[in-house]
Amino acid sequence: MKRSLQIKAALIVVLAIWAGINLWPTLQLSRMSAAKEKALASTPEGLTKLDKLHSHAIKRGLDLQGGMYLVLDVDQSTVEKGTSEDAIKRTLEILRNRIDQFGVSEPDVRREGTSRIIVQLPGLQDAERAKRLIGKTARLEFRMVREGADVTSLLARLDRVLATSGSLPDSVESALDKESELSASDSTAADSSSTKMAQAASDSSKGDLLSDLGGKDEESTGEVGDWEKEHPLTSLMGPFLKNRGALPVSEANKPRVDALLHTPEAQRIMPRDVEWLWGSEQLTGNDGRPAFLLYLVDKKVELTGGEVRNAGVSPDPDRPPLLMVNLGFSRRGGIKFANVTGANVGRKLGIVLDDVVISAPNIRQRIPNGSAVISGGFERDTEARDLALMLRAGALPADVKIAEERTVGPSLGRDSIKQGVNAAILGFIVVVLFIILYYRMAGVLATFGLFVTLLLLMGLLAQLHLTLTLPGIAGIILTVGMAVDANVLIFERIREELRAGKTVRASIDAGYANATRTIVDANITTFIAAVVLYYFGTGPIKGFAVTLSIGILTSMFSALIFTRTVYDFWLQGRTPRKLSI
Amino acid sequence: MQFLTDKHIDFLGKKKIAATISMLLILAGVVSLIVKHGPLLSIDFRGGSIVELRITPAPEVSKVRSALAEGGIKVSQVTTFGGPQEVLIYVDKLDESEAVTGEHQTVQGVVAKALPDHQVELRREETVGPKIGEELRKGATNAIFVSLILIVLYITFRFVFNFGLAAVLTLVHDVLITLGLFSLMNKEISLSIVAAFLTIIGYSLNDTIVVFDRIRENMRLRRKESYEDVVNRSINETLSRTIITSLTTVFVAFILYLIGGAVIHDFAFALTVGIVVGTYSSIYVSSPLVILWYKWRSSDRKRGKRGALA
Repeated sequence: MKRSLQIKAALIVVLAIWAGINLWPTLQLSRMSAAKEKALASTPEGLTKLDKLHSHAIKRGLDLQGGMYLVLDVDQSTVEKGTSEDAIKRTLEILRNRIDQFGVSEPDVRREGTSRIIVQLPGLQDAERAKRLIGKTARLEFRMVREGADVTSLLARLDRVLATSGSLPDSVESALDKESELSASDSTAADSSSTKMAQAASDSSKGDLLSDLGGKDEESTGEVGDWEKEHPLTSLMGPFLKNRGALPVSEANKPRVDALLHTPEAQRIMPRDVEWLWGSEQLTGNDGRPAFLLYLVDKKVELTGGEVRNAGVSPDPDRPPLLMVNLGFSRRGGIKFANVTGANVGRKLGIVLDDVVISAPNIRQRIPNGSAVISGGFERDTEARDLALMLRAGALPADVKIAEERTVGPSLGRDSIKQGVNAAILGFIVVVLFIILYYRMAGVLATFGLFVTLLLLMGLLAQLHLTLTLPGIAGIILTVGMAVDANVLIFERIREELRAGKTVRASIDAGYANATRTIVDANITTFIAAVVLYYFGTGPIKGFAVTLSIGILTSMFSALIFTRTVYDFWLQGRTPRKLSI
Repeated sequence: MQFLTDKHIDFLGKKKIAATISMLLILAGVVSLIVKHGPLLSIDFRGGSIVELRITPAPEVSKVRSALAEGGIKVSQVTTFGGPQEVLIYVDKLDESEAVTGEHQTVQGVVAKALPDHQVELRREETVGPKIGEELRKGATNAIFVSLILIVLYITFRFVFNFGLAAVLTLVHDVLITLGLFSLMNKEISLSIVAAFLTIIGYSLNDTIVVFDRIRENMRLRRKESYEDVVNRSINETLSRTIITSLTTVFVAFILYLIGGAVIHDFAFALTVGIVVGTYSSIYVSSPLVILWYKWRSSDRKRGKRGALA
């Protein structure tokens, strides 16, 4: 046997064994039933074994196993100058912290570029909750709420300024137009007994808290009375609610109130030390219409979430079965909290999360023990739990925006695998039948070549810890189609040489020699396209580029080295007259 | 089994018919692209949000639409996707702050509430912000241009410049036809379609190079023959291979199109069309372009004097 032949044969055997070893964990996992996997996971040794298998198996992309892919933009405008690097590092850390506590297996949180963070959560069940948990800054602040004369005198001044400023700014006008269009149907349905603010500003009990929300959105007559003209702002609200420390505003009026408060005229007369903030709680008025609370809150922050040592949930005794969040302050925070509560007995302490008031309890007495409760009337248990979780993990040093999101439900992932694998198997069968029919024994050889191509391709995927995505499967299927090409080029050349009257041995030699150059040239150009695709592509597309480019390499190997070696073996000590091709 | 051997088909003789067909195909696509103000971009490139729900039993799309309207979710389009149970909802661009806090009512929640006797399952949700959309658009355009340039360079290095030029013009031809077809059929161009285009580029080139390689070889071997004869002979000699390879590749692309699932349906469609067009163009477009160049460069000179090509 020729030495070069021996080396080639050895190379092929070694590569095949190497690929087999690499693929073993993947094979074992794919053959393992769910029940067996569970049984294994129940014992510690089994679990380590399972983890080891998983870490060596080909990873499935989020589009195949289901999960969430998020690109977050760290809002540089919310970061102090010169600290953005630090802010991003801390954001990463806090996000990791939150996600760890959320409990997702194998989450991936990493930084991309200067101000982006990529979060990948495989096998996620509740996408909306995860988004809330990740996207929230969770900046908790304790700030005093203004009441009484502070509010009414400011409102009176705002009314005066807004009334005299004449025409409303465009933004408000358009908001009004849009609003009147949208509410056209329900404004006729609503009762016309719109009481005005001037009338009975009595301290309403909680039951009929919102019987009076101001009447401007009920203007079915289309006429604007004098009273509304003189009170453009307060006519949109109900009377100040002493027990809540806030002004009720119907949902329909909320955008208008917001727009009015943000006009330059209104901004100009706002005192420097206070601001208007909305409450998170959605209330329901007697007439069933939703409403929100508007608070006048000190800008001065008495205490931040940074002073929170630990946070948990417990049942809210006043509002079963709802939960409340319990806070434990640090030593310093506890002292501060005691001082603040001591100095402000009888007032309301606003608990502000990301510029939204989640509750504003009355301070009945000084609270010395360094703990507090947030009973924001969380609608769902998860809301309270998530708030506690975020307070434990800490606030993000900068706001983040979700710039891109791709979520795949687990059932779609399963379907994709099934369909992808079916397409691959059917494609493989069709191609193999076709080439065996067309090239006979040579076709059988090419089929073995195809197996080698796929074996090496999958082996490389496992070895390089690459992720298999749905486009990746498409790339493999395409490889099956294209891998045949190199064989076809060779076989057609050999046929040509045979037709020209050469011997079998000479035809094979010439066929391979002539086809090699063509194969290399043709594949390198496809390879160029695949590499470019890899560099520009994101997520799943990268998976396609990877399998396509690896497929090109392995199919070249199988055609130029594997099938050639088989022919060389066959020709050893033999001078065949005919070649089945 | 063998077919298409030594057929001696006069491909170049039909170059006028081929040119007419190509022109018509490109023109139809280009007119559609102009009328529709460019290709129909998916949310990958223009930003936006889609939600795919599986609703069992299959709902009436109009009911889903009205449920969303009542729930205050503004949608631009609601269609079924791959089956009557799969509903694809194009959500109008959300306010960025809304997208972050996720406090808006979820599409799934609203639909589930409105259709209490149905099971509503989230299949897929994709949101692309306008900034990322623009970046992806730039990235995709760059990727196509960069790969075209690299390919011209490689072919110029391996062959001669005019082969490279002819190859790239052929690729532009292939992509224009596929792009035009997508526009005519109102199919969206997404990231995966761009990936399909790049694959078509690579694949069509593969075909073209095999023919070019044979032309180069025959030009060296048969110096006495005219350009037309050499090119025709080369196409005929490689025809069997061109057809076989195209068939096997088109088989798998078509299988992917048929049973690969709704998510890669359009991707597989682009591949199938692209491979067919690429095969046609490697025979009828790229080789005539090479001849055209030689005729233009050496209008009255005999080929024999110019010697070998590469």
